[in-house]
Amino acid sequence: MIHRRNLLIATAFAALLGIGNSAYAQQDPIRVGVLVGTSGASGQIGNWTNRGVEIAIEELNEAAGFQRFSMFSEDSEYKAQKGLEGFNKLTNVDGIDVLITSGSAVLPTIAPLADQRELVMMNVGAQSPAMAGIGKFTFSVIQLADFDIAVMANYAFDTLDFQRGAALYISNDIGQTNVVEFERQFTQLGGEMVAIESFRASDTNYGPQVAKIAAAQPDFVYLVGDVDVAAAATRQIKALMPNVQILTYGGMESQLFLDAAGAAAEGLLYTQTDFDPSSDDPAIAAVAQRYQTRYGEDFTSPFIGYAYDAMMVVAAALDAAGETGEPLRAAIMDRRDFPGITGDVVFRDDGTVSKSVIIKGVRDGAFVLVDRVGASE
Amino acid sequence: MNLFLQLAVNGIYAGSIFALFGLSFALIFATTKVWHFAQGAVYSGSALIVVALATTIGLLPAILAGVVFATLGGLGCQAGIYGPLRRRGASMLVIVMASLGVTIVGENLLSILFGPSQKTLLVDVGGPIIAGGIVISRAQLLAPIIAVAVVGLALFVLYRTDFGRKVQALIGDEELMQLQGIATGPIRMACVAFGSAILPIAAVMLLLSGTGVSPYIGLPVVLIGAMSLFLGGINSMLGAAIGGFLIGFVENVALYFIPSSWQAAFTYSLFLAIILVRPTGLLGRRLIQSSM
Repeated sequence: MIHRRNLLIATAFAALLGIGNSAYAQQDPIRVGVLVGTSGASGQIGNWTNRGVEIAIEELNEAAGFQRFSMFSEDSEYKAQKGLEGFNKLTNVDGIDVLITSGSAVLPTIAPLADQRELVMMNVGAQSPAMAGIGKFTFSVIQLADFDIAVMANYAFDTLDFQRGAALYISNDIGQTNVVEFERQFTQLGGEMVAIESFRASDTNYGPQVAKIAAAQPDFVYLVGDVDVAAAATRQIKALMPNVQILTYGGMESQLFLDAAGAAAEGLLYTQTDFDPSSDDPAIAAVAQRYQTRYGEDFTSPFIGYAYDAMMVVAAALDAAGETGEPLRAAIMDRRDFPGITGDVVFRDDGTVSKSVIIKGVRDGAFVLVDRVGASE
Repeated sequence: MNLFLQLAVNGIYAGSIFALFGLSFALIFATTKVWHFAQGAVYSGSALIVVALATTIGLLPAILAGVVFATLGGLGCQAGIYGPLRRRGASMLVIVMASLGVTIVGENLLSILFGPSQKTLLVDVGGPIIAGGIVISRAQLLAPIIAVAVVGLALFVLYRTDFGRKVQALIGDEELMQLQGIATGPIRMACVAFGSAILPIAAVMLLLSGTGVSPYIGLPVVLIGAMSLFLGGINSMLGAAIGGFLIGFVENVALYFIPSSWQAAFTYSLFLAIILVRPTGLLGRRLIQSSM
């Protein structure tokens, strides 16, 4: 009892003198929230994001020599309501200082709240064009889909010489936005979309839609869906139209897609950030090594890289700002240009980035670079 | 390609599988009077087991493993949850909620075990047959044969055997059977076992055409089963199978006339219209009273 009273007196005395305040502040970790979908069909992307942040924090804490950052993660299932619940938990209970998140359905819900709280939010996966200017405190480390789509539409029309296109898309905001944008871009170039069909997220059989598309005899099918859904759709498209070209986007670049689509994946083309996880670049190789050591798996997905880059942007901007909130936001906008393993992160006024985009494809069961034609902004 | 014929082929295929969903749901509902939502988790679990094992132990043993899982899953729900709740006087609503709870827990367990994403069956069953521009996959050829065989077997047992007559009696008036000293439990369990065992067979028919399976696809299957039951006529096994077939067939062929984004709305509207005109369903003779 006496010991406890002495301790209290000593602590109070030290507090009065200001002893230890600065040291404590230095060692009190910055709380980083990660709000992504770790369950549900796109759970793999969410798990990659968590891992990207984890290895970045591990590296930053090692460099600092103390626990500079701590991480708090919530599962949004990439749904607006679950995302809002996760955001409230992270902000009200965990008291996060920065948020790393994704999900085109989640961000519109939480971006205004992040502005109210002056919480810097890094988007590492939502590619809907609606993300541009979505909030003063929201920054996208991943380039938005409209640019990728323009590259793919141009490639289909100019390089592949395709005139007749079809689309099969998941019936949600992302699917609709992407297909409308693709149709706009492709028809502007002089092409024709001869069939556009959708499916529900819960569907597993796309036979009827594929039959309608096949009847229109397109040169290619532009496919938009989650990785696993798109893999099943790819198999069903190829079963009915063995020679049709399938075009899609970078979200497909995962072993999960290759495993699930099997031989049907062969020849698929997609847009991707100009980023090679197996590159000899020392910065990328170091991250790949750290990832392999920690998780016992190869660094394969750019989504790990986006999350890693987002955390590094936050850390670099914090060095200049000294604190989170408005000073951190201002520091990001002042500097704008940050190095990144997925390419330099150069923020525009609306918080989005421009990155080089390339055409990749599946050859002999692996993802390979196909073309760089018209691939950079 | 003749689009209408291609959609009709797809419709026969989907309808054959939906007929099995309808029969499965009807058999369990008619004999237990339980709205067996957990059937969804049993379905997705058995399908995931088939996918996981097919490439290592072969397709047929994997199907057998799926059938064993589904049978045990169905019996487990009946013996471990519905039965005890019923004995303790729980209302049907409580049992339904328990079934829904089992589904959600089951989905999450399956997600932990197999991962949350869709899986496909990577087994080569041979290329499609192309006739007159119509593409018919091996699964599309096989599904109607399997469906007719399974539904035929169920109807034969139901209408041509002593056991089947007991099942009909159980469906008609369980209390009367119990008053006569006939143990209804084993009969009910046999029906639950058969109804559950059908599910992985239906799942394989879908998987063989490249359709995916995830832990979260069970509830739509239950919904199809329930719609088939009402459309065909409650307590009519043949009616439920026909109801399921019609849903699958119409859902596909309708796309000849409407965009795919209207597919679900069209199917449900048609279902509502038929039920409004004929509440007993196509082959049903009477409505059962809700005991919720």
